[in-house]
Amino acid sequence: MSSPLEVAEPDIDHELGLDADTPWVVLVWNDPINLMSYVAFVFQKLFGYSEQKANELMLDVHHKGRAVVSNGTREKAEADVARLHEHGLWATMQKDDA
Amino acid sequence: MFRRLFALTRDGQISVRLDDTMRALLRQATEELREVLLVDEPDLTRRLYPTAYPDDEELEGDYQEMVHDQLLMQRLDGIDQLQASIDDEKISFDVADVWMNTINQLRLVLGTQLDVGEEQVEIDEDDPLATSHVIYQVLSYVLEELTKVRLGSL
Repeated sequence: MSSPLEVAEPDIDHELGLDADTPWVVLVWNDPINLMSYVAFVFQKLFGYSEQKANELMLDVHHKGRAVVSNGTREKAEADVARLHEHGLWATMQKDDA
Repeated sequence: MFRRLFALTRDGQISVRLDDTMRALLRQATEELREVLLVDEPDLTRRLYPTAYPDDEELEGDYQEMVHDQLLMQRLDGIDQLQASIDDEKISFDVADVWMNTINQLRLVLGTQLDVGEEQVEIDEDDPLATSHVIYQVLSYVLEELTKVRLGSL
């Protein structure tokens, strides 16, 4: 993504209220094609995140190379990944071993 | 000098101020996207079908089998919707989202073909892919403009 901005690193895990007992996380990875504004829009549209949270996640993707955008059961994570793929984002899922 | 291509309307839609050249470009480019989707050459379409399970080959196979044809049908339907509304002066938010999704698919295919990186490249007129670079940049501008307006509607 282009046009990076310098911001304080958000505490995304806390912001998303991730549950340590839930076994799968959905990751979105940085890629040079998707526009930063488009990625933030998709986060708001698909997950109902606020503009601030969507921008924080988008900037995490850009600066750190990836961000956890949702979590839950394997079925929920898979549905979220499919919706992200439908919108052209590079999303993967994995067991939350953290 | 670029002008605003889209704007929110008072009746909750988006006005489209693309000129005829831009509309023709979108019509032709999406028709080419349809061919790319149907031929499904992995070198061009790999960014449209990302890996979901990088750590599990079996689950990944099941996932791709489940979603591939569904994504293909959604994308072909999106092309139909964009082409059916390409001459409209106003579009709904739902149609705008279809435009954005479809234009982004075009960028993903072109960006993959052009091996686009983080840095914006100077276009060399002698490059055989110069036209593709220009189209990629135009599509990026259109998508950025429509996304800004759509974000303003949320």
